[in-house]
Amino acid sequence: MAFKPSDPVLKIGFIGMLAGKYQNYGIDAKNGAQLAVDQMNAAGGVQNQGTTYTFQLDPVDDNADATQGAQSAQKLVDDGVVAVIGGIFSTATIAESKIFNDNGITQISPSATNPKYTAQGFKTAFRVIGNDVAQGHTDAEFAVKTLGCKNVAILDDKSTYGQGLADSVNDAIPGAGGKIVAREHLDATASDFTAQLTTIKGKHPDVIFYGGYSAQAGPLTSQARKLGIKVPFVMGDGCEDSDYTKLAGTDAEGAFASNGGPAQNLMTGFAEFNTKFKAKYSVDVFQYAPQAFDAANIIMNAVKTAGATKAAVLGAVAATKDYKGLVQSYTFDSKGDITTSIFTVYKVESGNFKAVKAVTIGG
Amino acid sequence: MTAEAATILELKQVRKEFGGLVAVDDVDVAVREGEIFSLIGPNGAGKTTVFNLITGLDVPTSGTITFAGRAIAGLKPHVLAQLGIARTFQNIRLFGNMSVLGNVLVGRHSRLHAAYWKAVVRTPDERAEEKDAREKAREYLEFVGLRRRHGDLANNLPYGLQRRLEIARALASEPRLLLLDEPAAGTNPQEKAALGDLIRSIRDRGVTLFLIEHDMKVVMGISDRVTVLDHGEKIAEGVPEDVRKDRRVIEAYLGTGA
Amino acid sequence: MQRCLDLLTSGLTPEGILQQLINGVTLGSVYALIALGYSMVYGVLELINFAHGDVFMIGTFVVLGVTGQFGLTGTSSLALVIPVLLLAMIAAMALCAVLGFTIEKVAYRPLRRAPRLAPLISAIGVSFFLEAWIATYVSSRDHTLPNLLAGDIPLYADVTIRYVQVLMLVSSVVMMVGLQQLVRRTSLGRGMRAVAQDREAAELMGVNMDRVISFTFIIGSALAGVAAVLWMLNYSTNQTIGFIAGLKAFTAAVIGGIGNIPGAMLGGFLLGLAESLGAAYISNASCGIFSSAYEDVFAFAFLILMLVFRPSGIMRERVSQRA
Repeated sequence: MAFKPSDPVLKIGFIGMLAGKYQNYGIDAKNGAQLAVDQMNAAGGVQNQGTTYTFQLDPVDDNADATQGAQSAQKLVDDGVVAVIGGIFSTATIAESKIFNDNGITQISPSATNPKYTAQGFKTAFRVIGNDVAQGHTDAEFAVKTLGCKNVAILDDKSTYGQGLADSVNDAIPGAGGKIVAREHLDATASDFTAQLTTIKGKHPDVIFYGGYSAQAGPLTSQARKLGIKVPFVMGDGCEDSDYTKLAGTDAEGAFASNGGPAQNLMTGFAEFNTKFKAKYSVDVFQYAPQAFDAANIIMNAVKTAGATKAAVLGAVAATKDYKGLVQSYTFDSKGDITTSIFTVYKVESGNFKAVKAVTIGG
Repeated sequence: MTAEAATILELKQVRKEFGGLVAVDDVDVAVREGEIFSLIGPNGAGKTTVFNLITGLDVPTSGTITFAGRAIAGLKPHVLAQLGIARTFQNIRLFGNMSVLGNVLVGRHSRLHAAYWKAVVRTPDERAEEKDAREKAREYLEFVGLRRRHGDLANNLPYGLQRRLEIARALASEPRLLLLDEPAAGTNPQEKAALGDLIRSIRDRGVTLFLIEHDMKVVMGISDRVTVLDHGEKIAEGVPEDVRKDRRVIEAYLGTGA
Repeated sequence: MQRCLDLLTSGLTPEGILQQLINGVTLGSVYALIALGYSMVYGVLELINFAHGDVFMIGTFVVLGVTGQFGLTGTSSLALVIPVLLLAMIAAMALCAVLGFTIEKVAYRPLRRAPRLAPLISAIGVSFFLEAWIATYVSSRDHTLPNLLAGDIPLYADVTIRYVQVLMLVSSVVMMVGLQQLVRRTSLGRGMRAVAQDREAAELMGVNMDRVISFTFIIGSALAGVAAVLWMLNYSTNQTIGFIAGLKAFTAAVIGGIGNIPGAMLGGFLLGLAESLGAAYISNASCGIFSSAYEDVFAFAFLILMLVFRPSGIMRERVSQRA
């Protein structure tokens, strides 16, 4: 048999929760990345200095948990991936980032928004979504200026993500001209939030900001309405999903939630993307599949321009400038954040989140 | 009592070993219906083990136990209670935190027919049975002379009365055979005399009595027949007068002679 | 210092405190119902039935299933809501009872003569099994009921008690009184107390121990089924809710003196109050050093203090005390 060198197949890691409470986010993003890889392979892969590279996605589960995340990150290192997409949630993503940094592996998170992720001085940590400082700014401005609510009550679930976003909102409220009348916390494992809500009710806020996930935000909203609290809820991207509208039911009506990136209907090429996505996975895009799709393409593009070593990929990703993705145009700053972040505020109307306002920060 | 009285309880070649240690060594015992039968022997002679085997707390290593014509070795204690075997304990085992009446009502358990689910929903027949059980329980308390203490906690009774309460509790199950494990232990002379009267009056109600004692005086006064056990082995059997004169009994048990 | 004084008094209105008391007592009533199951089993078997919280969790899913079957929404008429809720309660009680009965028979009974650690490990195993089973075959997501029985009764100023809270209080008190009557006045109750005090003596008196133990599990689990309905009227569920709610209820049982039925009720109410008042006023009381984030820290600090200084509970162990 004649010897014919096969084309090298490069492994790209994916890390996120793939089974469990928040598996929707992880599976959705994994599918987005997989779609990018499949499309690239179908188009013949990428060529660099005469070598043709094709790609293979290597997905691992981090259970949205720091300990499991570190272990799964190590597995990706051992598997020899050139770069990684993920994690999905901030707590796990931050834990993973240290392992990838130690091994010089590029990590692009499609969704982790906690500022700390890119503030650790790791050269390998990137994200294709605006961070919580920018989002907190967006939410504060929206609540105070757009909704005209001066007195703000802030609640969070003490998670890295939820409390981080709530702190950002907390810091941005005075600048927007508002006043914080209550700052409460709840336990992510608790079910009864009436104590905190009763305290908040006594402070007569015009709006309540909640930093956390829909699993608590849904029941929280219902319990607030049952207590006779009628003011609107403003929340972050952890609540902008169908879980929230399902859990809160009719109580969800009129709630606001911001999310990174433009609204799906304002994203050029989204309809086509969703058609292909649905044809392959039989479900609609849930949340971060477009960002994960872009992250995968940024990585594969880096291989095309710089080659297949980890260092080459890292250098090329860091140098990304005005890369036109599905969601937006990306340029990374020195920390690994994007220079221009787009946020969209959604409102629940007839049981679904509908985009009501687009905000661009930076750029 | 006649010589032809039927045997109600029979132990044949009953043996019990605990990890190689022989507690009961191939013992034969036959208790006749309507008699007061006593098993005596020094401490450690295996007497309580015999009771445990009869009441289902232990299973014999070998041999057969027959009660009212039925092999009973290995049956569960609550089934044996239902068949008509009741007992008291050498170290009083009352339900100390329940009332005196409550203790007797527990003794009544095996004569209640209403299923437990009926107690949950409190059906009329269960209520009627409960009312009847309370009346019966008061009668047994009257019989042992405890009627006026029915509301006290069992723990608060003096020792001698606790012994009587144990008897009332056992009687509440309407047994055919009542096993009394050292009923005189720890009681004073007056109480001992009263106990003898009580035991006889229980016999007069048609209950067969099987006593374990090491106090010879109590046993000899009231028993119809006596068996002497030593180190798990039967060494004598017969009416009290004969046993008292038996040479092996005097040597093994009475030592210097009583 | 001035800031501290301001904090101490800010938000401390009589209305606020009264409302928090109402909230705490209703939350506590659910803890109490679950706590009874722990306490009864401990009283009779001296076993901490760690799977009990998960029996409750299964109950919440039964409630979801039944109400979902009838398509209840927040606007359904009372003529539909009340029968469906009753049906959900009966279904949850029945299923929980069957489950509790089966768990005892399969996981605990074969180990009754084993060292005490063995059934405890078996209990944890059953707990994991039930959680994994729900996550795999039913759902690993959060679920709520629509807002049923909306509306409230004004009490004083703007303090209100909601219909659901009234229902929670009334049903749990009725259940507890019923249980107390059962334990004090029926043959089953006497059997339970007798087995608790001296298992062998009880058997020798004709008490069918196996059946008494089965019924202890059946009744405790059925009460968890009632708790599941009340819980779902207010809160949400997922496959892990049994662990948290179970831990709280277990704490309530310990506070009240595990094995003691009135104690379990009292413990439930106390824990509910501690949580509500804690979450609402920790910040004030500590001059802002602690925030409401410390809610659970205080609830469990309470448990540790109880275990250290009063291990037999407020009411002293009664049911299981040996004679």
